[in-house]
Amino acid sequence: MDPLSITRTIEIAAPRERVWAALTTPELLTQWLGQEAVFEPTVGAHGSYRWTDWGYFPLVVEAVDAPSALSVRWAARPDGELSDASSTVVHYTLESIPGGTRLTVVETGFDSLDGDRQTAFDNNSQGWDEELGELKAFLEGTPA
Amino acid sequence: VSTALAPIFSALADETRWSILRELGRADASASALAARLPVTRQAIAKHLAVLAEVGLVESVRVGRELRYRAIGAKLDETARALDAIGAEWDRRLLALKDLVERMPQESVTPIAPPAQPAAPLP
Repeated sequence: MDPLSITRTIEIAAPRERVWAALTTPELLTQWLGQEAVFEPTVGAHGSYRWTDWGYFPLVVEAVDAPSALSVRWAARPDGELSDASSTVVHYTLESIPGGTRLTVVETGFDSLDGDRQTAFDNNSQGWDEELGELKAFLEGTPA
Repeated sequence: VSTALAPIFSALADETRWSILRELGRADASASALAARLPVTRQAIAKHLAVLAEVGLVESVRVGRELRYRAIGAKLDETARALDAIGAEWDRRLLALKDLVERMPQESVTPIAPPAQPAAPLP
């Protein structure tokens, strides 16, 4: 178990192949992920995602098992390197379920980052990570 | 998020340290008390406590002759918040993905040939 991974699951009313296409086709990636994508679903292929506000994030494809699994290592910072110390890995798993697809995303590698994960992300999010939330509840009873 | 979180992530990426934090979350405890509760030697506990103290997740307090350790909630809170923000970003992205895929007319999906074995590079 890696308490520092992020796991998210969503059910989508569409066949796996369509979800797979959205994860691996640049024209579709740009419609939900970044504003620009250079991507090819081949192990070892380098590419990038670009967000207007943040810049280019290099990536490399680490595992491909169409249409059920995809792993992409991406830089934690714009123009960053793809070493363990400066990138994380996103694992997508696609399962067929009645009526559609269950997509699970697990992002790992936060523990080996060497600097602040420059989150341009908002802090106004809700719902604690389950594991951390449980611990937080314990700690809130503790005088700091 | 102003503080460098990586050392904290690194300190937390260990089952034993995680267990120690859980124990300390319930109540302050000495290294010996922790060793009695966890399947780890006192020496190992001391080492883990030093790592946790270094990144500010625990502090020691002297109670009589005993040195007890205490979890510092604020630091963990900050760490949890950073991870939570990244998770929330995924929630947002996945909803956009779901919306995109479900709205897509079947015929507009470019059929993607699964890569042959071994995968051939695209032109």
